[in-house]
Amino acid sequence: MNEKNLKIILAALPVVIIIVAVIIPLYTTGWDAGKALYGTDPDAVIESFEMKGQDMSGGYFTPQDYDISDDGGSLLLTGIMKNPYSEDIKITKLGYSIIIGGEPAQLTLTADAVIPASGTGEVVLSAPVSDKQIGALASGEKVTYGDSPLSEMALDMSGIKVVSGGQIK
Amino acid sequence: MTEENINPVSGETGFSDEGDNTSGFNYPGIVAGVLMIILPFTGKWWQLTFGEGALYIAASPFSLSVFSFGEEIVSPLITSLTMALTVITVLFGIILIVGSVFANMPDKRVLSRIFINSGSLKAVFIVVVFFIAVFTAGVIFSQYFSLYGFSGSFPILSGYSAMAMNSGGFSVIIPVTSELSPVLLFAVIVAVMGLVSRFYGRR
Repeated sequence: MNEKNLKIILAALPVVIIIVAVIIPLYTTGWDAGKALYGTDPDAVIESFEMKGQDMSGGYFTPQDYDISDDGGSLLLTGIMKNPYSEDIKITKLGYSIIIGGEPAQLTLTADAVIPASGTGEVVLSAPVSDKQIGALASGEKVTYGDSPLSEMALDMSGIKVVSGGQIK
Repeated sequence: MTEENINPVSGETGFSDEGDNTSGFNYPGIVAGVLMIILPFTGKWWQLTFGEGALYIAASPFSLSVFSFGEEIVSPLITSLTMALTVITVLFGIILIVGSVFANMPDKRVLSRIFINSGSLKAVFIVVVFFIAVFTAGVIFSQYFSLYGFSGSFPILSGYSAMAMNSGGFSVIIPVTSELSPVLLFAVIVAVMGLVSRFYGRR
Protein backbone atom coordinates (compact mmCIF):
# COMPACT_ATOMS: atom_id res chain seq x y z
CA MET A 1 0.00 0.00 0.00
CA ASN A 2 1.46 3.31 -0.98
CA GLU A 3 1.05 6.73 0.53
CA LYS A 4 -1.76 7.82 -1.77
CA ASN A 5 -3.88 4.73 -1.10
CA LEU A 6 -3.45 5.07 2.63
CA LYS A 7 -4.51 8.70 2.51
CA ILE A 8 -7.63 7.75 0.55
CA ILE A 9 -8.49 4.97 3.01
CA LEU A 10 -8.05 7.24 6.04
CA ALA A 11 -10.12 9.98 4.42
CA ALA A 12 -12.88 7.58 3.42
CA LEU A 13 -13.05 5.72 6.73
CA PRO A 14 -15.13 8.31 8.67
CA VAL A 15 -17.48 8.67 5.72
CA VAL A 16 -17.98 4.89 5.55
CA ILE A 17 -18.62 4.71 9.31
CA ILE A 18 -21.21 7.52 9.10
CA ILE A 19 -22.94 5.87 6.15
CA VAL A 20 -23.10 2.55 8.03
CA ALA A 21 -24.45 4.41 11.08
CA VAL A 22 -27.26 5.85 8.97
CA ILE A 23 -28.03 2.57 7.22
CA ILE A 24 -28.25 0.36 10.36
CA PRO A 25 -31.21 2.13 12.05
CA LEU A 26 -32.95 2.52 8.71
CA TYR A 27 -32.50 -1.19 7.99
CA THR A 28 -33.63 -2.30 11.45
CA THR A 29 -36.79 -0.19 11.15
CA GLY A 30 -37.66 -1.51 7.70
CA TRP A 31 -36.36 1.58 5.88
CA ASP A 32 -38.86 3.76 7.71
CA ALA A 33 -37.15 7.13 8.17
CA GLY A 34 -39.78 8.27 10.68
CA LYS A 35 -39.26 5.26 12.91
CA ALA A 36 -35.50 5.55 12.60
CA LEU A 37 -35.64 9.18 13.68
CA TYR A 38 -38.30 9.06 16.39
CA GLY A 39 -38.11 5.52 17.71
CA THR A 40 -40.36 2.52 17.45
CA ASP A 41 -43.60 4.47 17.79
CA PRO A 42 -43.04 7.81 16.07
CA ASP A 43 -46.72 8.78 16.05
CA ALA A 44 -46.99 8.49 19.81
CA VAL A 45 -43.80 10.45 20.34
CA ILE A 46 -44.81 13.24 17.99
CA GLU A 47 -48.36 13.38 19.42
CA SER A 48 -47.12 13.47 22.98
CA PHE A 49 -44.37 15.94 22.22
CA GLU A 50 -46.58 18.32 20.27
CA MET A 51 -49.32 18.27 22.84
CA LYS A 52 -47.02 18.99 25.69
CA GLY A 53 -45.17 21.55 23.64
CA GLN A 54 -48.37 23.40 22.92
CA ASP A 55 -49.41 23.31 26.55
CA MET A 56 -46.13 25.01 27.38
CA SER A 57 -47.33 28.18 25.69
CA GLY A 58 -50.12 28.47 28.22
CA GLY A 59 -52.40 29.74 25.48
CA TYR A 60 -54.55 26.66 25.70
CA PHE A 61 -55.72 27.33 29.18
CA THR A 62 -57.51 30.56 30.00
CA PRO A 63 -58.42 31.28 33.61
CA GLN A 64 -62.03 32.40 33.98
CA ASP A 65 -62.97 32.54 37.61
CA TYR A 66 -61.83 31.49 41.00
CA ASP A 67 -63.34 30.65 44.33
CA ILE A 68 -62.14 29.73 47.77
CA SER A 69 -63.24 26.44 49.18
CA ASP A 70 -65.65 26.42 52.11
CA ASP A 71 -62.92 25.52 54.55
CA GLY A 72 -60.81 28.38 53.21
CA GLY A 73 -57.82 26.20 52.55
CA SER A 74 -57.98 25.79 48.77
CA LEU A 75 -58.23 27.90 45.69
CA LEU A 76 -60.57 26.56 43.03
CA LEU A 77 -59.72 27.92 39.62
CA THR A 78 -62.08 27.47 36.70
CA GLY A 79 -60.64 27.84 33.24
CA ILE A 80 -61.33 27.15 29.62
CA MET A 81 -59.15 24.65 27.86
CA LYS A 82 -58.76 24.67 24.11
CA ASN A 83 -58.41 21.45 22.15
CA PRO A 84 -56.30 22.06 19.06
CA TYR A 85 -56.85 18.53 17.76
CA SER A 86 -59.47 17.21 15.43
CA GLU A 87 -60.36 14.48 17.94
CA ASP A 88 -61.88 14.70 21.38
CA ILE A 89 -59.31 14.57 24.14
CA LYS A 90 -59.69 13.56 27.72
CA ILE A 91 -57.60 15.60 30.10
CA THR A 92 -56.52 13.36 32.93
CA LYS A 93 -53.64 15.35 34.28
CA LEU A 94 -53.04 19.06 34.19
CA GLY A 95 -51.22 21.41 36.44
CA TYR A 96 -49.70 24.83 36.73
CA SER A 97 -47.42 26.29 39.28
CA ILE A 98 -48.58 29.84 39.92
CA ILE A 99 -47.50 32.64 42.20
CA ILE A 100 -50.08 34.17 44.49
CA GLY A 101 -49.05 36.86 46.91
CA GLY A 102 -45.42 36.09 46.23
CA GLU A 103 -45.79 32.44 47.15
CA PRO A 104 -46.13 29.50 44.81
CA ALA A 105 -49.30 27.46 44.61
CA GLN A 106 -49.55 24.17 42.78
CA LEU A 107 -52.75 23.90 40.83
CA THR A 108 -53.88 20.40 39.96
CA LEU A 109 -56.83 19.03 38.06
CA THR A 110 -59.82 18.21 40.27
CA ALA A 111 -61.55 15.86 37.83
CA ASP A 112 -61.04 14.44 34.36
CA ALA A 113 -62.44 16.65 31.64
CA VAL A 114 -63.38 15.86 28.05
CA ILE A 115 -62.65 18.61 25.56
CA PRO A 116 -64.44 18.23 22.24
CA ALA A 117 -62.49 18.19 18.99
CA SER A 118 -61.31 21.67 17.97
CA GLY A 119 -63.45 23.10 20.73
CA THR A 120 -63.20 24.26 24.29
CA GLY A 121 -64.22 22.83 27.62
CA GLU A 122 -64.23 23.82 31.23
CA VAL A 123 -61.65 22.46 33.63
CA VAL A 124 -61.38 23.06 37.33
CA LEU A 125 -58.06 23.20 39.12
CA SER A 126 -57.43 23.46 42.81
CA ALA A 127 -54.46 24.41 44.93
CA PRO A 128 -53.96 24.57 48.68
CA VAL A 129 -53.39 28.19 49.65
CA SER A 130 -52.23 29.97 52.76
CA ASP A 131 -54.00 32.79 54.58
CA LYS A 132 -51.52 35.22 53.07
CA GLN A 133 -52.38 34.01 49.58
CA ILE A 134 -56.09 34.27 50.29
CA GLY A 135 -55.47 37.80 51.49
CA ALA A 136 -53.67 38.59 48.24
CA LEU A 137 -56.51 37.14 46.22
CA ALA A 138 -59.02 39.19 48.12
CA SER A 139 -57.00 42.37 48.03
CA GLY A 140 -59.07 44.13 45.41
CA GLU A 141 -57.96 45.78 42.24
CA LYS A 142 -55.32 43.32 41.19
CA VAL A 143 -57.78 40.50 40.98
CA THR A 144 -60.68 42.26 39.43
CA TYR A 145 -60.72 43.11 35.77
CA GLY A 146 -63.97 43.20 33.88
CA ASP A 147 -65.60 39.83 33.90
CA SER A 148 -62.32 37.95 34.30
CA PRO A 149 -61.35 38.18 37.92
CA LEU A 150 -57.96 36.57 37.41
CA SER A 151 -56.94 38.30 34.25
CA GLU A 152 -54.96 41.02 35.98
CA MET A 153 -53.30 38.62 38.32
CA ALA A 154 -50.01 37.65 36.79
CA LEU A 155 -49.94 33.93 36.33
CA ASP A 156 -46.26 33.34 36.62
CA MET A 157 -45.88 29.98 34.98
CA SER A 158 -42.18 29.80 35.53
CA GLY A 159 -42.88 26.64 37.44
CA ILE A 160 -44.54 24.91 34.54
CA LYS A 161 -43.74 21.30 35.01
CA VAL A 162 -46.86 19.30 34.69
CA VAL A 163 -49.41 19.71 32.02
CA SER A 164 -51.05 17.07 30.14
CA GLY A 165 -51.74 13.48 30.48
CA GLY A 166 -54.19 14.17 27.77
CA GLN A 167 -55.36 11.09 25.95
CA ILE A 168 -56.98 10.91 22.58
CA LYS A 169 -60.31 9.29 23.29
CA MET B 1 15.85 3.01 1.01
CA THR B 2 14.83 -0.58 0.44
CA GLU B 3 13.35 -2.09 -2.71
CA GLU B 4 9.97 -2.83 -1.12
CA ASN B 5 9.41 0.82 -0.37
CA ILE B 6 9.31 1.83 -4.03
CA ASN B 7 5.88 2.11 -5.60
CA PRO B 8 6.02 -0.10 -8.72
CA VAL B 9 3.46 2.08 -10.52
CA SER B 10 4.54 5.60 -9.77
CA GLY B 11 8.05 4.93 -8.75
CA GLU B 12 7.47 7.09 -5.72
CA THR B 13 8.87 6.18 -2.42
CA GLY B 14 6.73 4.28 0.01
CA PHE B 15 6.49 4.86 3.73
CA SER B 16 10.12 5.25 4.53
CA ASP B 17 11.70 8.64 4.57
CA GLU B 18 15.13 9.54 3.49
CA GLY B 19 17.65 12.12 4.42
CA ASP B 20 17.20 13.55 7.86
CA ASN B 21 17.39 10.89 10.48
CA THR B 22 16.68 13.24 13.33
CA SER B 23 13.48 12.09 14.92
CA GLY B 24 11.57 12.01 18.15
CA PHE B 25 8.19 11.20 19.48
CA ASN B 26 5.46 13.63 18.65
CA TYR B 27 4.52 14.20 22.29
CA PRO B 28 1.59 16.58 21.65
CA GLY B 29 0.23 13.95 19.29
CA ILE B 30 0.46 11.21 21.92
CA VAL B 31 -1.29 13.44 24.46
CA ALA B 32 -3.93 14.52 21.93
CA GLY B 33 -4.51 10.88 20.93
CA VAL B 34 -5.02 9.75 24.51
CA LEU B 35 -7.37 12.70 25.16
CA MET B 36 -9.31 11.90 21.99
CA ILE B 37 -9.89 8.36 23.26
CA ILE B 38 -11.16 9.75 26.57
CA LEU B 39 -13.21 12.60 25.05
CA PRO B 40 -16.37 10.66 24.02
CA PHE B 41 -16.82 9.38 27.57
CA THR B 42 -16.57 12.69 29.41
CA GLY B 43 -20.26 13.58 29.34
CA LYS B 44 -22.48 16.22 27.81
CA TRP B 45 -21.15 19.47 26.43
CA TRP B 46 -24.30 21.58 26.41
CA GLN B 47 -27.64 21.58 28.22
CA LEU B 48 -30.86 23.38 27.45
CA THR B 49 -33.84 23.40 29.80
CA PHE B 50 -37.33 24.83 29.34
CA GLY B 51 -39.35 25.39 32.50
CA GLU B 52 -38.79 22.88 35.25
CA GLY B 53 -38.10 19.88 33.07
CA ALA B 54 -40.75 20.65 30.47
CA LEU B 55 -38.06 20.00 27.91
CA TYR B 56 -34.50 19.03 28.71
CA ILE B 57 -31.80 18.57 26.11
CA ALA B 58 -28.26 17.49 26.93
CA ALA B 59 -25.98 17.12 23.98
CA SER B 60 -22.48 16.33 22.90
CA PRO B 61 -21.29 14.98 19.56
CA PHE B 62 -21.17 11.57 21.21
CA SER B 63 -24.58 11.41 22.86
CA LEU B 64 -27.90 13.21 22.93
CA SER B 65 -30.50 13.03 25.71
CA VAL B 66 -33.92 14.58 25.27
CA PHE B 67 -36.51 14.48 28.03
CA SER B 68 -39.97 15.94 27.68
CA PHE B 69 -41.87 16.11 30.96
CA GLY B 70 -39.72 13.36 32.37
CA GLU B 71 -40.15 11.04 29.42
CA GLU B 72 -37.07 10.27 27.39
CA ILE B 73 -37.28 10.60 23.65
CA VAL B 74 -34.80 8.28 21.99
CA SER B 75 -33.93 8.48 18.34
CA PRO B 76 -32.25 5.34 16.96
CA LEU B 77 -30.78 7.36 14.10
CA ILE B 78 -29.24 10.02 16.32
CA THR B 79 -28.00 7.33 18.72
CA SER B 80 -26.37 5.49 15.84
CA LEU B 81 -24.75 8.66 14.52
CA THR B 82 -23.38 9.64 17.91
CA MET B 83 -21.99 6.12 18.33
CA ALA B 84 -20.35 6.47 14.91
CA LEU B 85 -18.71 9.72 16.01
CA THR B 86 -17.51 7.96 19.15
CA VAL B 87 -15.95 5.17 17.07
CA ILE B 88 -14.37 7.68 14.66
CA THR B 89 -12.90 9.76 17.47
CA VAL B 90 -11.48 6.77 19.35
CA LEU B 91 -10.15 5.21 16.14
CA PHE B 92 -8.41 8.36 14.99
CA GLY B 93 -7.14 8.94 18.51
CA ILE B 94 -5.40 5.57 18.23
CA ILE B 95 -4.16 6.44 14.74
CA LEU B 96 -2.78 9.74 16.08
CA ILE B 97 -0.95 7.92 18.87
CA VAL B 98 0.50 5.40 16.43
CA GLY B 99 1.58 8.19 14.09
CA SER B 100 3.12 10.12 16.95
CA VAL B 101 5.11 7.06 18.04
CA PHE B 102 6.16 6.34 14.44
CA ALA B 103 7.62 9.84 14.36
CA ASN B 104 10.49 8.43 16.37
CA MET B 105 11.21 5.78 13.74
CA PRO B 106 13.13 7.16 10.76
CA ASP B 107 11.90 4.43 8.42
CA LYS B 108 8.27 5.26 9.26
CA ARG B 109 8.39 9.01 9.03
CA VAL B 110 6.10 9.27 6.00
CA LEU B 111 3.59 6.90 7.57
CA SER B 112 3.81 8.94 10.75
CA ARG B 113 3.05 12.14 8.87
CA ILE B 114 0.01 10.61 7.18
CA PHE B 115 -1.35 9.28 10.47
CA ILE B 116 -0.80 12.55 12.31
CA ASN B 117 -2.31 14.62 9.52
CA SER B 118 -5.25 12.27 9.44
CA GLY B 119 -5.93 12.21 13.17
CA SER B 120 -4.92 15.66 14.34
CA LEU B 121 -7.82 17.62 12.88
CA LYS B 122 -10.66 15.30 13.84
CA ALA B 123 -11.17 16.85 17.28
CA VAL B 124 -11.01 20.35 15.79
CA PHE B 125 -13.61 19.39 13.23
CA ILE B 126 -15.91 17.88 15.87
CA VAL B 127 -15.67 20.91 18.16
CA VAL B 128 -16.29 23.39 15.33
CA VAL B 129 -19.24 21.42 13.95
CA PHE B 130 -20.70 21.11 17.45
CA PHE B 131 -20.53 24.88 17.99
CA ILE B 132 -22.20 25.48 14.64
CA ALA B 133 -24.91 22.92 15.46
CA VAL B 134 -25.62 24.39 18.90
CA PHE B 135 -25.67 27.94 17.53
CA THR B 136 -28.03 26.89 14.74
CA ALA B 137 -30.33 25.10 17.22
CA GLY B 138 -30.33 28.17 19.46
CA VAL B 139 -31.25 30.48 16.58
CA ILE B 140 -34.08 28.14 15.54
CA PHE B 141 -35.46 28.03 19.11
CA SER B 142 -35.13 31.81 19.31
CA GLN B 143 -37.07 32.25 16.07
CA TYR B 144 -39.70 29.80 17.32
CA PHE B 145 -40.27 31.85 20.48
CA SER B 146 -40.44 35.10 18.49
CA LEU B 147 -43.00 33.53 16.20
CA TYR B 148 -45.30 32.89 19.15
CA GLY B 149 -44.95 36.42 20.48
CA PHE B 150 -42.51 35.74 23.29
CA SER B 151 -40.20 38.53 24.26
CA GLY B 152 -36.79 38.08 25.80
CA SER B 153 -33.33 37.22 24.63
CA PHE B 154 -32.93 33.51 24.06
CA PRO B 155 -29.73 32.24 25.70
CA ILE B 156 -28.21 30.52 22.71
CA LEU B 157 -24.98 29.13 24.07
CA SER B 158 -25.14 29.83 27.76
CA GLY B 159 -27.28 31.84 30.12
CA TYR B 160 -30.76 32.27 31.54
CA SER B 161 -33.72 34.07 30.16
CA ALA B 162 -37.36 34.28 31.14
CA MET B 163 -39.21 34.24 27.86
CA ALA B 164 -42.40 36.20 28.47
CA MET B 165 -45.64 36.48 26.57
CA ASN B 166 -48.80 38.39 27.38
CA SER B 167 -51.90 36.69 26.14
CA GLY B 168 -55.54 37.15 26.99
CA GLY B 169 -54.78 39.38 29.93
CA PHE B 170 -52.39 37.08 31.71
CA SER B 171 -48.71 36.62 31.35
CA VAL B 172 -46.78 33.49 30.61
CA ILE B 173 -43.16 33.19 31.60
CA ILE B 174 -41.07 30.26 30.45
CA PRO B 175 -37.62 30.15 31.94
CA VAL B 176 -34.98 28.95 29.52
CA THR B 177 -31.58 27.92 30.75
CA SER B 178 -28.70 26.92 28.53
CA GLU B 179 -25.38 25.89 29.88
CA LEU B 180 -22.03 24.99 28.39
CA SER B 181 -20.36 22.20 30.34
CA PRO B 182 -16.75 22.40 31.51
CA VAL B 183 -16.27 19.28 29.41
CA LEU B 184 -16.41 21.57 26.39
CA LEU B 185 -13.23 23.23 27.63
CA PHE B 186 -11.64 19.79 27.73
CA ALA B 187 -12.79 19.24 24.14
CA VAL B 188 -11.22 22.55 23.08
CA ILE B 189 -7.97 21.51 24.76
CA VAL B 190 -8.05 18.22 22.84
CA ALA B 191 -8.64 20.12 19.60
CA VAL B 192 -5.77 22.51 20.34
CA MET B 193 -3.48 19.60 21.19
CA GLY B 194 -4.42 18.02 17.87
CA LEU B 195 -3.47 21.19 16.05
CA VAL B 196 -0.22 21.47 18.00
CA SER B 197 0.66 17.88 17.11
CA ARG B 198 0.18 18.69 13.45
CA PHE B 199 2.58 21.60 13.53
CA TYR B 200 4.92 19.87 15.95
CA GLY B 201 5.38 17.13 13.38
CA ARG B 202 6.39 19.66 10.75
CA ARG B 203 9.00 21.44 12.76
